[in-house]
Amino acid sequence: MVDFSWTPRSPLEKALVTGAHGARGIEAGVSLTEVRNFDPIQVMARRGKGAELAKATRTRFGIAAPDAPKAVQTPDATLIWSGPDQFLILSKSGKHTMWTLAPAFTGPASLSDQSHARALISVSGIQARAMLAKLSSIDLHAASFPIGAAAATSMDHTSVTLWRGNDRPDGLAVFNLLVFATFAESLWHTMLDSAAEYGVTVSHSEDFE
Amino acid sequence: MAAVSGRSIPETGTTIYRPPYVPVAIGAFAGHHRDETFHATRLTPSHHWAVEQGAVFVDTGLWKRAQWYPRAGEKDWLESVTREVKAVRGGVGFCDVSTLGKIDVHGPDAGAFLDRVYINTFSSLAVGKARYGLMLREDGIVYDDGTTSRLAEDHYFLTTTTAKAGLVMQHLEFCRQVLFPELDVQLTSVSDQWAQFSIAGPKTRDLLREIVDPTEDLSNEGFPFMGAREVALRGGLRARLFRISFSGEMAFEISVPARFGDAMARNLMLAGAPFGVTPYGTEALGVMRVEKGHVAGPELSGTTTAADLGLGKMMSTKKDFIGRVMAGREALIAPDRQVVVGIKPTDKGRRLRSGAHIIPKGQTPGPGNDQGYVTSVCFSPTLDQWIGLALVERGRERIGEIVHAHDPLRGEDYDVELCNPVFYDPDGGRQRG
Repeated sequence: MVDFSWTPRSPLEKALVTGAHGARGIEAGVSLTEVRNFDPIQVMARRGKGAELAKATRTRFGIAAPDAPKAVQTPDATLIWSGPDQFLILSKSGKHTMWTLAPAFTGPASLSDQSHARALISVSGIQARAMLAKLSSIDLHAASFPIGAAAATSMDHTSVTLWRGNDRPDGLAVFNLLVFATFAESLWHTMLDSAAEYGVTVSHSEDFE
Repeated sequence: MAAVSGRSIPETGTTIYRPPYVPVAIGAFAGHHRDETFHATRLTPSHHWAVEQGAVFVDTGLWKRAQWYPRAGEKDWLESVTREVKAVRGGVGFCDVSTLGKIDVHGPDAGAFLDRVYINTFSSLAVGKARYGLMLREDGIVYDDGTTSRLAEDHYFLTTTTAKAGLVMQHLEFCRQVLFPELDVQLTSVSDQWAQFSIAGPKTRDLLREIVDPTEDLSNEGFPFMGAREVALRGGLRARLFRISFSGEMAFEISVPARFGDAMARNLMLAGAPFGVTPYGTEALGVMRVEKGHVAGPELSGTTTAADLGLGKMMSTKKDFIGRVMAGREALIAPDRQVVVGIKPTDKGRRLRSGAHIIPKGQTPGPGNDQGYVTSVCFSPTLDQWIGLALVERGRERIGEIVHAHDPLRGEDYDVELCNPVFYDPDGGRQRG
């Protein structure tokens, strides 16, 4: 009898090569990090149950779910608006799963497991905005896209959920991009190309915050 | 502009300047979008495993799909594809079918919603069962097909064709939000969440018994045709198993969360090694579906009705559904419509080609006597000859008739016999066994 092992493989496992890419001899202007250890769950209110869902969310997470294109942080999850009466719950793998969330949300909402459906790419660095401007039609200036701003948009004809996370310790902005898994490698190459002229540091992280 | 420049509108004329004001190289606009990165691509969960296997890939929309897996010494695609088909029909093979669109349909009215979008009934489907469904456009023409399974009272898992995945999602969202806002139903695309593989052939159960936990009952009684449920796998993972068949063989589709898709391909190779498991690509998939007479893209062409496809009996008379009324229009139920039939060349050694026109035997081809065309062809390793599907006027009444195939594009003329489109196992005993 054969022993079967089930090793998960990120959709970016092949494409992502850690280290320095693009322009050399300058301090890297863009940092691209794939965050691997996270689970997204899609939450959609059942018909006429928006208020009930809001209440269940407050009870479960201590804050209201976003009712506009925004991302809100709880101590152990990020809630991102994805449409009227619907949002995504992102948390560290295993923290909030279909099974742990079901008791709180069955009734007011339908849950759909997206834990393997997306890749999460975090973009930061002094040139992050310049690089993203090549791909995105969203105004990412600090005044227009503050911490917690979110958008369901597209980059390179690919659907993405984009939101601004907390700044890095050095004060630079962090843009998070959630992309459908089967598009991830393609978008990754586009992002790397866009960032190349600024010098890029590529890494992956097992820590979803 | 007139106001700004202090002139009248006629004096100013139409503003004709648009950026770019100076010549710009086209390459500056194209930027990254050239060669392999001309457009975004989608990769299946087992893509890099298939690359390691030496697969030849085909572009299907944005997808890269494994078309066949050549082996050393094989001289052309036909030899590889024929080997893959024989391996499935005689043993067991598997194919990554993750490109199918997949949609979670949730809510207490999920069944009622599906009854309105499909021509057949889904509210009566038992939990743990799958059913083939066909949906029409508002004008009564066939839109898409696929299997949909009921995983819980208020949860269906719907699949679409690869080509229509995005369009069907949009269509269903329109139905949910605009046409039937009173229904309590929620839709989520889960196309990227699941890696799904078709495992087909008479030794499918032997392979599955290696990889599925021994406590799971995979017998014909314990897991009958069109069953759908979650099972435990050896090594601790859980999977969804659907007993559905496109090839006409005893077959299952197995799905696991997408990040385990690469491991699944490798483990299917391990589990199937004692049985000579053979990965197969979209060409072999297409050959087996033509042999089995299943309709696909070339027949769901935006001109055919359910009856044209031989699926008219699926149209429920007990409920309303999108396309029902318009499907009853005179021209769409005319007795002389072109319907799906099988074709075989009278010269058994002849190659068939899609697109040839069907003309009554002995007549000079022309627009006046054009009775249809060949939609799909393949070399059938099982029948050892080329076979095809065609849309032919009154075709089902003419089974056994010899007609003429006229192909002015390739300069070919030959006779074919109209036949039952199900070339292989017409009783369906193999997929139910």
